[in-house]
Amino acid sequence: MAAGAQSVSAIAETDHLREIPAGKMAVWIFLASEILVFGGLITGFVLYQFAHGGFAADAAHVKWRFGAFNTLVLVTSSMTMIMALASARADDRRRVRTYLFLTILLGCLFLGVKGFEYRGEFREGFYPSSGMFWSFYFGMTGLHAMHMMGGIVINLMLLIAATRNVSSEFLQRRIEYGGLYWHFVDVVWIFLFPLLYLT
Amino acid sequence: MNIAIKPHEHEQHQLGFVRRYIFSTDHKVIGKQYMALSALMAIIGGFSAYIIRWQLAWPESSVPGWGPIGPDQYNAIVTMHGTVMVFFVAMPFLLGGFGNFLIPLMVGADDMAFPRLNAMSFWTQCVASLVLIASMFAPEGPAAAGWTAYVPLSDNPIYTGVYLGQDLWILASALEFASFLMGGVNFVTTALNLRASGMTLMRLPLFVWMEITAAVVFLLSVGPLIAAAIMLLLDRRLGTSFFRPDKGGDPLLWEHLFWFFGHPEVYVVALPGVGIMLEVMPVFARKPIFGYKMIVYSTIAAGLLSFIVWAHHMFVSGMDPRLATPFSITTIMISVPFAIIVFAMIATLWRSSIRFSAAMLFALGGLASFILGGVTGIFLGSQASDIYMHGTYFVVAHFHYTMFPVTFFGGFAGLYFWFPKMFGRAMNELWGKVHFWLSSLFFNGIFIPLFLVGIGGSPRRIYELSSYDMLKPLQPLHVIATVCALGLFAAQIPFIVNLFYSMVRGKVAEKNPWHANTLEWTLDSPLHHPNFPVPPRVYRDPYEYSVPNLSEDWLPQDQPPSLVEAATAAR
Amino acid sequence: MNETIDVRRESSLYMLIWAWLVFLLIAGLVIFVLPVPRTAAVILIFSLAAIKAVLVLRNYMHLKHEHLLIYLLVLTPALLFLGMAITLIPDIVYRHHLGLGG
Repeated sequence: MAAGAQSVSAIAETDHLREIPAGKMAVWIFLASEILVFGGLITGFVLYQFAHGGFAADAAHVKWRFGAFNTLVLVTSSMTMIMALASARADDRRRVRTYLFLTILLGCLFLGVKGFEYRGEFREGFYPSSGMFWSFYFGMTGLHAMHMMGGIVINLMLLIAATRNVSSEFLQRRIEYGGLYWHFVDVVWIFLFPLLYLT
Repeated sequence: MNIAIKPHEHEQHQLGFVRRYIFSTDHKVIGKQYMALSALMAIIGGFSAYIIRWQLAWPESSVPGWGPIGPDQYNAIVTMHGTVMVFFVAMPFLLGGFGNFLIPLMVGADDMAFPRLNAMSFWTQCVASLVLIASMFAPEGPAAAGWTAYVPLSDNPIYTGVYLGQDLWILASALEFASFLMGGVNFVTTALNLRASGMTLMRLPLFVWMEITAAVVFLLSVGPLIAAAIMLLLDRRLGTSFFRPDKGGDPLLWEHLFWFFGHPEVYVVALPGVGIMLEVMPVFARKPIFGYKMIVYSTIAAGLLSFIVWAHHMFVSGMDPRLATPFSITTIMISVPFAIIVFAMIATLWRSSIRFSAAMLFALGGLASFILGGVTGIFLGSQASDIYMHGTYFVVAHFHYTMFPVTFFGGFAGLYFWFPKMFGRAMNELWGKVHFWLSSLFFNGIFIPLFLVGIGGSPRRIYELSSYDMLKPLQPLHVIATVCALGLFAAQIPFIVNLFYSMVRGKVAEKNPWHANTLEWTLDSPLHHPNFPVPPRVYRDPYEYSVPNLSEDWLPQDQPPSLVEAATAAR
Repeated sequence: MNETIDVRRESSLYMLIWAWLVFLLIAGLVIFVLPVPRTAAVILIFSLAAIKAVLVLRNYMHLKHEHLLIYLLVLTPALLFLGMAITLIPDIVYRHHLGLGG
């Protein structure tokens, strides 16, 4: 076997496969560390709950209906995101753009509802400085919201890419990786919602 | 599959100066950029050490080149020294510098997996460094709560009087974490995905194993601290109560979250330095590394164990005493893999033909000092003795005897070793040896007295000892330490002159001046872009030195077996 | 051609998962609203959340098709986080070090 026959020195942009595509590994490594960021906050919140005997009084002021609606929005956006990937695999650019657009829209809707909730809470006189529960509520949902904004920006970039003449393979990969991030943000919310709204 | 191998060489020639040298995506350039940045930050870190040492030896006097020091300023300088040295010198130099430069070369790749991300990680580190420097000019001064930023000292500005400075410290740390997250992703992906044909994981140079382990440990440990940093910032700026006892918060939560990261972090810093020593020693002993597999498994074990020892920093913090024994046990356990690695190094040197080049001297000196440092850790790892030693100069001496040898001595070993590959010229060996002996002498002269100061009962982070009658007899030890510190700074002058002179006027180096086996030595110095004109093919591990019946005492990784047979037959 | 059929099968799977996610969300809300004893409710609700998370991880993030290494990449931080949380219980929950009680 001739030593030079393998395209071994091709750099990663061409997805030199050593079991797992480089980009996918990179995204998962990043998500692994993100698990611990939210994990640190959740640890603090859960342990403080036990220490303080629960935050029922304060927690009663969050509007669980909004939270539930937002969960529905986010879960649906996960579905539209994965459908964007499926459309990319089927090489249907129009559908890709539609689903990406829907994902972005749902993401913005989530943020809008969150903003509306915040406004209501401020009106009622609840700020981050209003107590331990509120510290965590604003802290965790705020951090999550910032991750969502990042995700929306990523999806916008994907949408723009989908309008351009990029290769199908390139688009599939990028949407898959962007999707991994988006689903992760969804999973975080799947835990944040009951933690903050339902306990 | 659509494989388009980019015409790199043409691309590089068309790039302008800015794209090629300033915003370069070439891992070799980025590696050197990291080294240059950390060298600049080392000036700040070293200067702060100078101030600290002068203040402790002669508290009544004003520090030459700076001015008189009061307790608040002292705290700020101690904070800056620790923060700069750990996050802005050691990590960028060993991981960003050597890691970036060497990993692609050692695995046989043309660049990192994500070259642009690599460039971004460097520039993020630059911004982080600038933010930290900016914090030194904040109205009330820089952060003064120690590099560990314990709450409520860091949480409530009324204690230190520092407002903006501490916030900027948090921001600089956050940016630094982001930079190393990006870098870590690159290292792991490159080492797993871009290995040359034949380069199995068990044929990787140990330096690469160390860097990957360090990257993984960092990636998994930094999360809780990022969470804690966010909480700290919110406490300071939005009035949240995460760490405020008066509002139901718990200061111990900060300590736990910080040290959950903080302890693995010291191994993140230490492992690459050990990796450099493991590369240098076989080359200058002309003998294979003893126990390659044991070293790999020990490294992984150390990485894993590093996650369950953190509370040994908190034995006297008021934490639940029942946690003390389990953490003592795990801390003693973690000395085992490191001991194995040290024994493997010693066994490598046993009955070998040692050539005392500058690089080898630094590696050996680093090993010797590291052993002393590691042993003193045992006193701190057992909760009973730690009750006395915690917060004293014994701790300071211990961690300088572990961190300093691996970063400083290990780093210089690497620099003297790989300089010919980086710059195509040789450094002056004689002045390298002078640099080593002076540095080693003065380094020990600083920190052995500090062990004694610590056992004598002196707490750390106090700006002078004269208020404590029982500590007054220890003052001469501080003077000795400071004189040696001045000597250590002076000892760097031969190195600096040697470095810059050799870069431009040093003797032109051949491809493989040390007769080493790893892949980077098969290439011309200085290196080209792309690294490997012909994709390398690896046939063996990198430590085949003094193989019997061969005409040479070294056997490169990419030498085909047929040629080896021919060489054997020719004898 | 096979690809299109695969994609269609994929798509219906994704829709099915979405339906399950919505159903589980509603189930959780029902438990929340009904007068279920608190401990039982909390356990149930978080179990449902965990199931939802696993559904997203396995099907949307394709974990069920992925290499073992990726599983480890997800599992390790999760275990670390649990380990850390459990270790912190004596200090943060039973805050004896704060003297006058939480």
